[in-house]
Formats: sequence, C-alpha cells, structure tokens
Amino acid sequence: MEMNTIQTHCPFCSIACGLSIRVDLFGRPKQVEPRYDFEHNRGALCSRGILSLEWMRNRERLKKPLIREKDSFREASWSEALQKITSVFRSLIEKYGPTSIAFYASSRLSNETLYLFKKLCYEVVKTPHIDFNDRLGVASARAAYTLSLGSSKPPNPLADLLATNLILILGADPSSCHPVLMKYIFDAKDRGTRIVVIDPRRTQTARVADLHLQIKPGTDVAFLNGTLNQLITAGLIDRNFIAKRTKGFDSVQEVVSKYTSNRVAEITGIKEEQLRAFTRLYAQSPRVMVIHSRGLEQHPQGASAVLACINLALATGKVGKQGCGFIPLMGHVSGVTAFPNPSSYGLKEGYTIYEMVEAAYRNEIKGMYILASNPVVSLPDSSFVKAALRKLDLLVVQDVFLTETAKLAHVILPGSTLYECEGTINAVDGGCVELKKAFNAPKDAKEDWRIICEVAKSFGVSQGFDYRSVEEVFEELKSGTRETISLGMSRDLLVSEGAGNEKLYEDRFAHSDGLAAFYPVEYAEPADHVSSEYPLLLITFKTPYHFLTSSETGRVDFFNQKCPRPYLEIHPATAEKLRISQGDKVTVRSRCGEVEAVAEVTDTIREDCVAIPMHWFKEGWVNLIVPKQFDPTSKIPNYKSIPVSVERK
Amino acid sequence: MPEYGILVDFSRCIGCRACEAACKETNGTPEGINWIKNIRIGPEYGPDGNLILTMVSLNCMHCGKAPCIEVCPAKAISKRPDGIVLIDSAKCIGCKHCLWVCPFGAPQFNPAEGKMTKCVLCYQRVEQGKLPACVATCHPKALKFGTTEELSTYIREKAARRAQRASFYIIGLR
Repeated sequence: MEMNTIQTHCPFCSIACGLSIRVDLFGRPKQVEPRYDFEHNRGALCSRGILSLEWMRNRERLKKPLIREKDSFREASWSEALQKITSVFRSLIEKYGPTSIAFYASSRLSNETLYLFKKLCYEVVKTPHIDFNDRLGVASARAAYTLSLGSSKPPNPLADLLATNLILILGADPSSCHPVLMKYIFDAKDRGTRIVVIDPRRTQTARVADLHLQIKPGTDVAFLNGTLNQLITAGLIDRNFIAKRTKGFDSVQEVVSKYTSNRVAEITGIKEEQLRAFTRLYAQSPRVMVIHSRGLEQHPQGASAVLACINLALATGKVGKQGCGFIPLMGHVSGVTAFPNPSSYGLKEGYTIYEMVEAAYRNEIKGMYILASNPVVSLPDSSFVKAALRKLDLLVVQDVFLTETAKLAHVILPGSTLYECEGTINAVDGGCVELKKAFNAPKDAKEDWRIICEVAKSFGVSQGFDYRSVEEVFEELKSGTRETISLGMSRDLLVSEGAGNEKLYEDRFAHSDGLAAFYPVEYAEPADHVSSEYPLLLITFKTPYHFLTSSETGRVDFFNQKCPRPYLEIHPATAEKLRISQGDKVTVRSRCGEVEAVAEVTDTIREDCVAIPMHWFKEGWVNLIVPKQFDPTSKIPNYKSIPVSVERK
Repeated sequence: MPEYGILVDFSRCIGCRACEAACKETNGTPEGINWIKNIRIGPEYGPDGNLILTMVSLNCMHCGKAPCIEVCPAKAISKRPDGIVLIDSAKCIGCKHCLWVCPFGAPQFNPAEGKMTKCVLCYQRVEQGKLPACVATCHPKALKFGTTEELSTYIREKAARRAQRASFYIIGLR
C-alpha cells in the first residue's frame, strides 16, 4: 500500500531525535523510522522512540470531553464542557478574585501551546499563578546559570562533546534517560576523551567511565568546592581568565579554602586518593565539558551545586571555548516557558506549583487548569497533593490519558500528543525543531493549542485568540523574541533571523558588564538527616524503559514486561544486615508514608543508599514517600536524598 | 561471496533494549519471542575484584557450518549465498531439534503456529541496501553489520587507534 512519510521529532527526551512516521492513505500511522538527516541521532533511536506509536494508538486514549458526575465520568460535547469551565471559573473570579485560579502545564508541549496557555492565564483570567513542570527539572540549573553567567540558555551544542578532553558527568545517567547521547560519549571515548562519572549508583554510563566516584547523595557542593580548593592550592587555576572575564573570585577562594581534602573525604564518603585522582584528571585536561542533570539538582542545595560546578569551570577558565562548557540535560523536549513575562501584564510573580498546591489545601486557590501534566504522581508527598486537589471547586485536566491527576478532575479535555499537532519545540542545546502533524488525534480529541483558543473564546475573548494556523502564533511569539532568545529560545532561530551564530560567551558573558559572576556556596548539612529511625538515603531514578510518570510508556507491553513493578536497589551488605534477599517484598518507610517494592540486591549502589524508580505503578509510586523539601533558590523538590527505613514484609 | 554478520561491541552496549524493540516493530514477532535478546551479566565481582556489569545483545549468528541445518529432519533450514540462515516455515515441523543444537539459543518455538522462528537478519532490508533494524537503531553503535571482512577491518582499526593513543600517553608519539 502507498504510504506518506512525515518527518518529525521524538516526543520523549530532550535529544529530540529526528524520526519519520509512515502513514497509510487512510491517515493511520504504521511505522516509526529514525531519520539520518538530523544531527543529534543520525539514524539511531532508543526503544521509547521506536515504540512511541504503541501508546499513541492505545485504546485508553481520551477521545471525548468528560464531565464528573459524582464518582464517575460521563461523555460530554465540547460546548458543554467549555460552558462548564467558563461558568465555574467566572463565578470563582467574581467571588474570590482572579488569584483564586491557578494554571499548571507540562513544558513538554510546543512553544506555541505554552505561549497561548500563558496568554490565557495572564490576558483572559488575569491571574499571576502559572507554573510549569520544568520546576521539577531544569529550575535549579536555570536559576544558577542566570545568576552566574547572566542567561539560562544552554551554552554548548552537543557536538562540543566530540571536541573535548574530559567529559564530567555529574548526577546524570544518559544511558537511561537520554540513550542517544551515549553515542556522543562513546565516540568521544574512542577519540581519547576521558570520562568521569559522579553518581552514587553504578549506572551503565558509569561503566564507560575512566573514573567513577560514588559520592554520597547531596554532597556535590562539598565535592566541587574541595576540588576547586585543591586546584587553587596547587596553583592550577587560570588567573588571567579570572581577572579579565569574571568578578567575585576572592569570596569564593575564601569559602573553598575550608574544604580540605580530609574534610571533603569525610562528607562525601570518598577516599582522598580518589579525590586527588579526579583533581589531577581535571587539571590535566585543557578542555572539559560538564554534563549535569537531576542527580545534581534535585536536592535542597540544588542551585548551589550547579553554582559550585560553574565556579570550578570559571576558576580554571574552562568556559566559552569550543569543547569547554556545560550541557544541562533537560528531562524532555521542552517549549519556552519564560515568555511572556507577568510584569508586561502588570502582574506580580505567581506561585510555584507546590505553593499552588498548598494554597489549594488552605482553600485560597479554588480552581485549577492542568495541561498535560500529572502532578499527583510527580510531586512530592502525593497523598497531600491528592487531598489538596480534591478540595478544588473546579479542576480542569487536559491530557491524553486518564492519569492519576485526571481521575480527580471535574472536567477532562482530550488533548493531543506531539505527533498530532504542529509547532516548534526545543532540544537539549536550545535548538528549535519543527514538529509536523503526522495524523489526527482520535475522535473528538483536538490539538492542545486549539483547545486553549476555544477556552479563551468561550470566556468571550476572541481578539488575540483567533489564529488560523500555528504559524501565526509563532510569528506573534517571535515578535517578542529578543527577550525569548536570552531566555533559552533557539539557536536555529537566531541563525535564520540572521542575528548571528556567534559562540556563546566567547568574548563576553550575558550580564550587562560582560563578566561572569562567582557565587560562593557552602555545603550545608541536610535539615532532614538520616537517623536511627530512618538510616538509609533513598534515591529516585529513571529506568531505561519507562518515561517520567509512565502515563504513556506504562501502556506499552514491552516496557511493562521489562519493568513491571517498583523495585528497590539495595547493596548486598545492607540487605544481609536487614535479612533481605533478592526478590523479597519490602516496605520502604519515610516520615511521610510507606510504599511497597521488590528487593533487587545489587552491588551497583552505595551501602548507605537505596534506590527506587520514579515511575508510576499500579502498586504505588515512590513520590508517596518523598517528603516536602525544597531548594530555597529554585524551589526544586528534593527527590534524591530522602532518609528512609527498609523492612522485609 | 562474502558472508554477512552482526558484531556486538560489549564495551558499547548499555542495555537499553532498543534492538529488541526495533526487531519487534519490524518483524512483528509475537509476545515472548525475541529474535534478538539483550542479556545482562552481573552485577558480580570478577576474579580481580572488579565489578562486572555487562550487557550483550545476542541474535542468530548465521553460522558458517550451522548445526541447525545439519539436524533439521525436514530440511527446512538453509543458508543463502550471502550467509543468511533461514527457516522455511512451510517445511518446518516444529520438532525443536534446532533449539537443542544451537549453541546460542537462537531458534525459538512459536506455539501459535507450532513452528520454529529465528532472526532472519532482516534480509528484506538488507536486499534494499538498508541495515538490519536492530543495527540501524543502535545508538551507542554497539551493533555493527557488514561482511565478515568489513567487521574484522573495523576491529583492527579500533585496535590500531588504541595502540596509537597508548603510544601518545607513553612516548608522546602523535
């Protein structure tokens, strides 16, 4: 049969692999094939990408708007659903003011959708409370980069990984989360690049490394400060670079001088020789690329850890050259969430997502519109989140599946996946890629950006929401882009606009004076310490199979067979002490709850740590026992060092 | 004629199982039957105290002198001139003899049809000049496809690079 081929991009991780979808003459998708003409993957694809059609064609897709009737849902027409949303939201606004309504969206949506969602929030509902799920992802990195380098834009393209002498992977596991990135790491290794991995778990990425340091979770600040101290003592810093391009080094020098190697060894649980070996490798390498991800950032000291890592690079002059710099990995492809600004609508900064949840719990927020996100599973202390969302007068959820969050909704709108809508989205290095519509969303489901326009229209605001195509939204978005570019919009866009394709930070940093700023950071003992009651540190991690809260991959047999239930990685020595053997059912307890898991006894984890995948499973998910604890700068939750106790069931 | 084969580079395999997924998508194998399977070895400590954690993807080796061909009572298994070993499912009687003798566990029994199945090295794709699905999708490039000659050249080049790098670190020879 004849087929059409549509070239688009993978909707999962931020590598945004190019792929083409073969669609038959009836518009039914048949097969996904990797594309050879996209630089990031060049014909490669991971299992999530290959099987992405499996869940898009799934029977459980939401096909019609649903309205809650007591404990169940009934199908409704679009006009009825929209009517209900606007009438309840209107009465809430009249009674309690517009600040009683909050908006929350996944950032795994196109730039256009997110722009319209923000516009709906600021222009139609006029509430400042809007947040995106990158609060749980790149928030720490963004905050730190903005403070230190002046812009949150990822400074280096992936190709720089092939032009460096050392790749330092801090708290990231590309082999599970960004599998296609491993191609770059292996290729670099073949060219003689040294690889260092800092991760409490011995992941498949760590196996590739020349040096793997299994530091205690949450001690990255001490580790990085200690390294900088050793380099300063040995005189291996770039005084010239510090004098010309940066400011505030003295304060950092003073702070890090307290991080002697025996103190760092004690804090991080790493032998001094190993710390020295790392410092030596770092100093010997003229060019260093740092890859970091949630393992570094999702801590009470998340932003500080990223700042410590930037300090190290600035002090040694390893920024702003080819093959020198940072790649902060985003968990997934992401639209720009920073534009437009609330201030341009005369509004203040609104609540972050957890502040919204807390406000909902104390009845301050009465209505919420959640777009394609699943906060019940993804936020810490899930039972509290559930209780808070239950208190809402109106919860609107727009998604493709009946997620745990959608189950609490009053109105559910059937949205679309990234294969079913047009738009642009950003990849890991800030490059903007174009998504094409390969096939239609099932039945009455609509493209997300059209739904938002219709919601606005049913509020009686049609001006500014009467777009004929997604290109018109893009043009409008672009007209304000000077701002957007500095906030992490696209490299490709810059080039196509002729604004120049200069290397970032080669001559100057993004602060107005062109200098990068050092921020001294101190290691702080976690407030929530391990105790005799909760003696182990829990790490949550992503498996190579499921994706985030697995609302999509959880519906694919292939992945469910590989990873069917929550499991607990535990070191043999710890397991023996607790009389746990392989395959035992265990109860993991923290101070906010307990969850069941199956023990997986493995040498790949530190003795004082245990680890559970972050995904959603029928039996329960790990965020039920993750207590509320946030980084003060970026408000990122702590998912990576939670005191727990483990007991055999 | 040169024979085709797939080379598995242990050092590069990260166990993401994209090969398994791609094989299933392309060949539509039923549940429980994986023509290529990713096997995990470890984590366990080796004799020198190092932690071993290795992943290996195994498919049919398309042997030069394949034992499955020798034992098949129905003469259903044959080797093509380009080296690809195929089971003719019209002739196969599902006796599982090939499973007994295969050193790699490649042939698998399909209970729905009562026949043996195994990797066909994506011969349709190969005939079109494409790579087998598992190799095409392998992003760490742990799987390599080619004639035996190409594969051995690849390994030698890798060894040569290793030697060159070592010489750089030891005697500074660029």
